[in-house]
Amino acid sequence: MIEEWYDNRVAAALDRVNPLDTRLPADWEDVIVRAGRTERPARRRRRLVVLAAAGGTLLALVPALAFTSVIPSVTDWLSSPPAAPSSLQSFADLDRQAPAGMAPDVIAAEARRLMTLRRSTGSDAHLVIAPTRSGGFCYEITAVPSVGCDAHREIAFGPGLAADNLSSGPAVIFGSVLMSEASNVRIRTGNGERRTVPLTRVSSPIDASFFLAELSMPTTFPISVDLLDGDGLTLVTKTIPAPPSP
Amino acid sequence: MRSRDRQADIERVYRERFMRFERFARAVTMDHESALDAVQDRFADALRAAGSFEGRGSLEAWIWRCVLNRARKARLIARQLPSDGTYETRDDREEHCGDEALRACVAALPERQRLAVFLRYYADLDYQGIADVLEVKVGTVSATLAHAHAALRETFVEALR
Repeated sequence: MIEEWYDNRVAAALDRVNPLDTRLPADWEDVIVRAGRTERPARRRRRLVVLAAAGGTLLALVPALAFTSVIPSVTDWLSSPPAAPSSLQSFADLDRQAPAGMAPDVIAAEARRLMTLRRSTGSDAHLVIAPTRSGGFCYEITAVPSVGCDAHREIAFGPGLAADNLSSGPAVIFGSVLMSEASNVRIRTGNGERRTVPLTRVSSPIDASFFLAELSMPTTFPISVDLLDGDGLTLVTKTIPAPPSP
Repeated sequence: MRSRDRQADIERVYRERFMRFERFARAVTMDHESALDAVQDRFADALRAAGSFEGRGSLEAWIWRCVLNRARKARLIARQLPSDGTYETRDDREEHCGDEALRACVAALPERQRLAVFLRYYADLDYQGIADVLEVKVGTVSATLAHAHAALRETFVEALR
């Protein structure tokens, strides 16, 4: 009886000195992200960044999906052709135009053309990638155009959407993936249409996967992009919201 | 069992037991951030290694063991002294007679006793579950907890004198 009384006091005291923290939310997405990282994450959880269109590019809308094929899917960095001078200039501008302390430190001279998307307009959009000095990469989608960086390899899955013109489209959806077990992305628009697009793995020093596809105008937001593993299991879902009204 | 089924099981364990994993890891590491990292990283490792789980013992015990090992490693790296008993996180904690002494007593317990106490009270595992995590027999768990309880009871006896 006395022992039971003491044991109850011990249990209560253990509860007080190390209470259950009911304010702390479970974050399964963070687990997924950590599972796919090649480097140990920082102590603080990082919010994934949805890469937005840049440099005057407008986000575009579309309800029906109309993807065109990616030709060809290149995976070997070293055998990929060098980038056009205009792309080299775009990458160089990233460092020049960045606010103090924010430059991605991109190695523009080493940029290569990795993927080509035949657009419904008849023109080609190229995915051009350049490494950064801190082990990450920057990329440009030509013809749209759009640029983005994961300069320090912090974005496990970053989809984005870009278009020449908000009203006339067509839009290009693209993104980078660090998670090595990812195989495909499944794109779902607000009106329920969906399509699966394979990832293209780019070898070292980039060591990341990319996707590139075209959506026909108009689309319905939000657009959800599921990152899928080889079994079709959803690893992460990112949402591209509707662009703000002009 | 297919890999995706196992991954779904791991996610279920995480969602159902996250707070208890975090609490247990916090007790071991004595640091909130390290505890959270231990839980998140080990579940991530479990996802990556889901195919390597051989099915001996329960999946949950396997994950508890993973979190425990990671938390112990974090604790070693942090090299925090156990005597200050700083594994509480709330500043508005009300002090009770014997709490400080209990912290010191828990910290001074032999490691197996301390972990058994944490697994019993913070992870809410039964004796079989604790035995699976510590990879000992159930009788050993019973004896270990009995020794720990005796030491903790003695702490309260002294505190109330």
